[in-house]
Amino acid sequence: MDIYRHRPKEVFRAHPAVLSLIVFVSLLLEVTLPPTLPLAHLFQFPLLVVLYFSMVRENQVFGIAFGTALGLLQDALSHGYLGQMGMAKAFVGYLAATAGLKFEFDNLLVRGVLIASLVCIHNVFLYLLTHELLGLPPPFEPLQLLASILVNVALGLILFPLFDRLKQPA
Amino acid sequence: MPAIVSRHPSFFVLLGVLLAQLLLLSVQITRNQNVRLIHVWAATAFGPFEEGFHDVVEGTVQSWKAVHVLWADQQENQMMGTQLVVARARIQELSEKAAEVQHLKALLNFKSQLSYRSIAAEVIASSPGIGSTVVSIDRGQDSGITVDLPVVTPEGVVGKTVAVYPHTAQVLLITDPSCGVGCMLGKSRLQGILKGGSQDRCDLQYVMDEEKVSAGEAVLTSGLDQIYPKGLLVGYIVRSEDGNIYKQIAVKPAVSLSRLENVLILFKSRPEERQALNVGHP
Repeated sequence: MDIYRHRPKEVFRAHPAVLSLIVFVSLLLEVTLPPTLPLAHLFQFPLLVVLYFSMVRENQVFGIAFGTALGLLQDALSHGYLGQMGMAKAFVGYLAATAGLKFEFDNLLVRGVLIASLVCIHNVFLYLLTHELLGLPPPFEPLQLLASILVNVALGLILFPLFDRLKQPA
Repeated sequence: MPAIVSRHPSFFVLLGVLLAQLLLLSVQITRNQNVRLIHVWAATAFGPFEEGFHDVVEGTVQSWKAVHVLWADQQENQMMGTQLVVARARIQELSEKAAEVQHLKALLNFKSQLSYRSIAAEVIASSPGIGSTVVSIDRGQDSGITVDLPVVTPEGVVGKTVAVYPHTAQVLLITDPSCGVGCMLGKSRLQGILKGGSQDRCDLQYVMDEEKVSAGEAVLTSGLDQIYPKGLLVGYIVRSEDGNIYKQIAVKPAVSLSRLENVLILFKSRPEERQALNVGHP
């Protein structure tokens, strides 16, 4: 199976209003689901949104900007410091866009692996950032990380086909 | 724009965004009693440079001060060196004066003990040539000096005046072969005539071989020559050997005749005799 793309570059985008709605819903779900569904604290809807739209747009600057914006919004809704999530999502947005340029994103396996990798990178980056800046190292729980990866891979594999219906050629 | 930036623009955009958000976080997060993290980072980043710059400035200032102090110390050192030389010269001068004072004191004490009137004089010159046996003094006719006056020091007999000028006079030393002094030995009271020999030796003549003479015995004036008063120390016997008839006795003068500075001239004649010679009062 060839995971590298050979066909001409095809860039997709979403309508700004659709994109804004998706961002809003993801943030809404992020803050409202965990109190009612314990497993929901593992969900990372904003991250999945950043990954998908950075990959399909295949523009690293867009990935950086989109990730930054969504991350800052997430920080604003949390009690943490502004810029924590912004930095992490900017970084993974850049990586996702780079991956979109190099790999065949339509392949399910490729999607799964990319989602798993980028979720892992995002969570580790966030952990290190919190550890160095706040000086209060949160406990590193490998099992929780693994669970988060698995859950978000499953979530991503469900959501991404839905997002495929919303994308349009750029 | 550098080539690397133009080849990877998105990467540098990412770096810029991450840096901006890092700054945003640093403004919010506080450490160490509510000091913002950005302040901590800024202080940490600039601290070494501030210290280094301060050290450089401080070092330069200290070096300049050290140079200035060294220069001032050098100037002071030179000045003190000059002062030291002057002080040493002064010390030497004062030492000489002190020695002269001691010598003159001894001369004054000696003069006060003499039963004869005396006048002090300074040796101002000696006759030219090796082994000079004539010296000049700074007293002459104006001081009442006449010929054949005994000249002494506290150590002993020096000689006699042989020539008198208006302001100076010449003294014939006892080491001169033409000078004769009537002498006697201090212990045995043997009498003889002291004749000059070499620069630092005299010969005591006309002492019979049979007489006992020992080295180290003092030789005194006998007064029989009508020039030197009796009992003045002339020298000490250094060697005595038997001769044909008379002993050959070597006498070392008591006075160091090569280091004469101040002497006393004894007026042993009576005042009316001086009047007859028409000598002015000193």
